Amino acid sequence: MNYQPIIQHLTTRGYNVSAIEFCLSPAIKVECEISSHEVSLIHINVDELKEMPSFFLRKPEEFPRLAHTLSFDKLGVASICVNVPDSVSINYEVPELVFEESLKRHIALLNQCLSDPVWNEKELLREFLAGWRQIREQEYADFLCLSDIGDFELIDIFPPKKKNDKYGLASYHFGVPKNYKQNSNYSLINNHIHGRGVPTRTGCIVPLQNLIPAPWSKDNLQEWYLKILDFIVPSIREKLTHTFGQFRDHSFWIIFNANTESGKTWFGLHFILKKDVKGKKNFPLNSKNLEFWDIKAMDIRLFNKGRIMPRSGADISLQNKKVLLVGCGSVGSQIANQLASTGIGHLTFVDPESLSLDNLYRHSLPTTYVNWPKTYGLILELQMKYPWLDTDQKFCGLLDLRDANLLNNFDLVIIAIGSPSQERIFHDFCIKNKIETAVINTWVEGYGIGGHATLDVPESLGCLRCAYVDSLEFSRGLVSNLNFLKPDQSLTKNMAGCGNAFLPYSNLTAIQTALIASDLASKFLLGEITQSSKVSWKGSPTDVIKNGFELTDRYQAFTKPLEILPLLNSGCDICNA
Amino acid sequence: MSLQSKFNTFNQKIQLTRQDDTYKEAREKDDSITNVIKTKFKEKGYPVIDDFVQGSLATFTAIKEKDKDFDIDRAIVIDHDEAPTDPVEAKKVILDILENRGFHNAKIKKPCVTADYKSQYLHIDIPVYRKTSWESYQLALGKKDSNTENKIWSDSAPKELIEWVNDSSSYYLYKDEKIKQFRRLVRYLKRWRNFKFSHDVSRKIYSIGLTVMIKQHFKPSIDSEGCPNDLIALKDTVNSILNWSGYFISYPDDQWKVQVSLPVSPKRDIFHGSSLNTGTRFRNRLSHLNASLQTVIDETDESKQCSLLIGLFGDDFPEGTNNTSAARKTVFATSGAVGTSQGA
Repeated sequence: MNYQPIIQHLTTRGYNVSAIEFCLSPAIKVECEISSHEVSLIHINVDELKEMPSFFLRKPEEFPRLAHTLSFDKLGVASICVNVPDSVSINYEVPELVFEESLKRHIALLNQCLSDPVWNEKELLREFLAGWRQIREQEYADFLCLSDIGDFELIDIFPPKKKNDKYGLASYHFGVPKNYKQNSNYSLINNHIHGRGVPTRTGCIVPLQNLIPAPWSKDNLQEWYLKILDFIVPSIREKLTHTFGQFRDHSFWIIFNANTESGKTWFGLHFILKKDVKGKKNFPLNSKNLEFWDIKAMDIRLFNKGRIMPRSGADISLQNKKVLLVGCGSVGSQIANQLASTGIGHLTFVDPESLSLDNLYRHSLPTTYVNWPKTYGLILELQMKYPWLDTDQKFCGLLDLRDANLLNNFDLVIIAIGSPSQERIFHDFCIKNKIETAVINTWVEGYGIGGHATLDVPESLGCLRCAYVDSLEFSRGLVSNLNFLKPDQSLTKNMAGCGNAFLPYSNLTAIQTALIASDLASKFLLGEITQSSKVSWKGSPTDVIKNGFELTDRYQAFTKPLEILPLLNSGCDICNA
Repeated sequence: MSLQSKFNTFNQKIQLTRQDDTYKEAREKDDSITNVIKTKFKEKGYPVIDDFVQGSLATFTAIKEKDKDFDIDRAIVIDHDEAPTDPVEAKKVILDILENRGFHNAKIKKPCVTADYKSQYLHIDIPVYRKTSWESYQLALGKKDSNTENKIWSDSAPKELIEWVNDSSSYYLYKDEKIKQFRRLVRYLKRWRNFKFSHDVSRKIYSIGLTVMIKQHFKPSIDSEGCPNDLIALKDTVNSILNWSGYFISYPDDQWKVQVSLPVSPKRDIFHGSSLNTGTRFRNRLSHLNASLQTVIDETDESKQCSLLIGLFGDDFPEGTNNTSAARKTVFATSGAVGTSQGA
């Protein structure tokens, strides 16, 4: 990249800019005065402008500790964080303007840090973890703490089983509170804890009343630790002294947490006896004892519902919801995945069939599960991914579930079997027996034309039959009035004779349909929808037309794809009784 | 229960089709008389080449009325070249048949032979047509004692009229739903006429006149899901009829005459000879209906809406309260099985 025009432009804008060499690389230097400080900013030249150009602060040690800067001692500079690199879109076609903008932002940030020490201090605390990561040891980047709350408690330490394991949860240290309640069923967490045998070391979790900025460098860690001890409230300090403080060992783990403006901040220290010290020593709680120990900073990754679920887009309030999913085919298996990802705590899968190779490309399960019950495959797959998901299964069909006690035990029933006859029979049972559980029915239509989902909330108007009213005769129709394909067309294809007919649609069609059903389910379970509703998505008619099939008027008139609409139909004899 | 559902119930109560159980005896009578006419006409040398139902049963707009006759409108068609020169001759044959089969008040009217069958509340109208080789129809006009010049075969288009009423080709989407809504609107307005006017006036507000007016000004109300809103459709249609200057001709002192041209040949005025009294009453009540329908639309309480509609259509319109007797009966599908596009 040609820096000459950039230097020229910045010069015309009043900046004192010069081309220099920095650490054997071409660079530009900008000198300016910020809040009565002589500041020198260095930009190391880049070949292509892909993000906002960064400037380093020279000789950071000559300034007070500044927020949003990270020191590179060996180079004698500190990086300055003015924005997340991807959060701005830059004008790479006019780079001189990008440099001018970047410089303005760097100077503005430094000016605020230097001119407003209170704000600077607050920001240092808010960005505590950024500073902490600067001094943490790489080998402790992967420590999972299973604590839920962060109160004082002792924890067992389970190191990775294989030291060189670099991938998956197997590569993490696990810090498990001694009174940790394990899931009674199989779960991912149980598997990891049990698989590692007995804990090798002890640690503890210590909440802090207050926090100071992270140490500027590793050399300051011991001094910093002693200061931190003063922020432990006396009652906890006493507990610490009388429990953890009494232990003698070769190493200790301590995990701190403190409230900052970014939320609760967690970080840890690993104490290891110095090599020349013999025997075991007590956990150091003063400067005298500290001389036996090396301290290493480590990142703490919380592995609990409260942290992982909201951070990754799940809703923890769905943890106590129980859903019965009937049909684990192409649509049902996608719904299972999607529902689990929303944070639902209990899923019971129902399907009488096993996975067939015929459906491989439109089913979510891999070939490993061919000939296995689909329900079993789904349970294994989902438990591998979702640590706080409880699962159950039933190897039967929809009509075998006509049991009021069973159905009323769930918050929601989702039916994804694509069988209008069975679904209407089941609905009749629910009406007759006053089933209190809401039911979602969902189905795809062939040839990628669309998919539908209905939500029948028993205490509100609108039911499955509303989606089957024949609007011409105001009679109970045999096919859904939501459909985009006219009834009585020979839509199925056949590749191997009788018994092998199938409705052609792709995995994408199944996923789209599952999405509208899952969205409806989560909104209902979260209380965002309280009325019986319906939703459809509408695909391209290309394949339908190519195969000579006919579309319904609803397809032509439908302009509200993905919109959740009332299910009630004025012609429904059940809802209008 | 939604208001549309009330309209559905109302429609179920008033609609009459040839397949209805209540029409069974009329249907049997119709079939048996038609067979006798066929035999007699054959003997006379002008065999029946076609017969068809016309009137409201052919356009699916017939309604039931308590203690009122069921209509049989059976058209008899003979070949142009075999037809008697005197059109009344053929009508006399029908008159004899009706008189011999227990019908009362059998008489030859100008356009048809008509009679009543009191024990079964039947009223029968039998027009006779001759069909030319170029597929056009001529109606046998003339009474028993008419002069020769009034006994004529007059150009007519009975099937064309039925086709015109039943045509839904211009409705674009939801054609079937729209034509069905049109037919319901005709039934509603016929019931309104019978309920709101004295017999003397209502019999002069001809059903075919109402049907043509509604057809020409039909404003369907079917939403994007195919669900009808009959109240809106009725209001919009009545409003359009009133706003069109062609039907009601103004006379001094706020008086009106009604005129509606047949949409097919011979395009005569259906209300030809209608009085100022009929026209004025008809228009005034139609304006009142229009205003009342707006009141119903503006009313948010379903119970009050139903009360207002009962005031317009009579007791066959269901009440708005939790009246279980007003609940619509379940209508099951008429097919045993239907192929679907549904999968999962």
